[in-house]
Amino acid sequence: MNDLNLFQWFALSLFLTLLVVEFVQLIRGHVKRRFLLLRVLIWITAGMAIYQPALPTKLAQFLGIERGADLVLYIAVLFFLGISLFLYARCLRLQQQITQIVRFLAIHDAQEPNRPEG
Amino acid sequence: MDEDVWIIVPAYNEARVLSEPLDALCRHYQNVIVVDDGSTDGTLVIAEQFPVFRMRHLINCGQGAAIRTGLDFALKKGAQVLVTFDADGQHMVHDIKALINPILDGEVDVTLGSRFLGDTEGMPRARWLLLKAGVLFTRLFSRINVTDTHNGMRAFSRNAADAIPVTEDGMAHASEILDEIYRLKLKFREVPVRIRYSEETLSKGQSGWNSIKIATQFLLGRIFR
Repeated sequence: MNDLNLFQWFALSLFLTLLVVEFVQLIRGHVKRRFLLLRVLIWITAGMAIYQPALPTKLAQFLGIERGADLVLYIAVLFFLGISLFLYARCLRLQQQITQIVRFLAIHDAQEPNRPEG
Repeated sequence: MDEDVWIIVPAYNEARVLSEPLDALCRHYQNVIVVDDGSTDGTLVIAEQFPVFRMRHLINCGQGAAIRTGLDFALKKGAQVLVTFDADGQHMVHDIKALINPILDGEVDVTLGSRFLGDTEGMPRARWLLLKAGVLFTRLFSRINVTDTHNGMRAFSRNAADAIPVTEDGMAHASEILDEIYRLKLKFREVPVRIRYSEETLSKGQSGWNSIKIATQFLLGRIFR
C-alpha cells in the first residue's frame, strides 16, 4: 500500500464502512437492488480515485480531457442534474398522490345544495 | 336539458366576491358546484348561502386540481356538459349559453372562451401583452391555434371531460388542457366572451414572473407526464 495521507485514511475508511453497511442491508433484504448497485459503484469509484489520485487524470486524458479534476467536476455536474431531475419527478408524483387523496375526501364529503322545500 | 349542464366554480379565498357570480349562476342553472380549494377566508360559508353543491379541499392544491375535482364530481352525477367558471366575477353568466350550445348540438367536444374574440372591460396593457405572449407560447409548444390561452371559461362534453386528465394542479392546467385537446384530437371552437377586470381580479392575476413559472411548470410537467 502506498503511504496514505490523513484524508485518504479517513475517506477510504468511510467508504469501506459504507460498503459493509450496504452488504449487511442486502443480506437483511432492506434495500432495492438497483439502487444498491449504483451506490456500491459510487463508493468503489470514489474510493479508487482517492486511493490512486493519478487515476482520474489517466482516465481524463484517455477521454480527451486535460485534467482529472475537470473530469470529476463534469461527472459531479451531470450527477447533480440527474439527481435533481429524479427528485423533481419524485416530488411531482408525490404531489399528485396528495392531490388524489385530497380530491377523494372532498368528493366523499361533498354537500348537497340547500334548496327551499316545495 | 339544463339538468345535464354542470357549472364548476373553483374558488380560493374568494369570500369577498363570490356572492355576485353565484347569485347570477343560480338564477339560470340548477347544477352549480363550488370547489373550495383550501380557502382560509370563509369562502365555503358564503357558498352555503346559495343552492350549490359544495366541496372542500383540505389543503390548497391549485386551480387545476380544483377543476379536476369538480369535473370528477359532475361526471359521477351524470353531467353531459361541464362548464368551468371563475369565482371572482370576471366572467359573464350570459356567455355560458354560447359556450354550451355547440356541445349540446354535437358540433364540438370543447368550447373555449376568448376575450380577444369578445370583449374586455378594464384590461391593462401589460396584461394584454402577457396574454399575447401566452398565445405565442401555446402555438409553439401545444401546436394549437387559439386566440386566448388562459381563459377560465370553457365547456366540455362528457367524453372530453372524462378524457382530459388535468394533472397540473396549478395554473399550468390551462396550457395542459390545450395540449390534451391537440393530443386527443378533440373538436373545439373558440367562443367570444366578455371579461370584466376589477381591482380584485387584477391583484390575483398573473405577473410576468409567475407566467414564466407557469410556462416552466408546464414544460417540465410535459417531460414527466
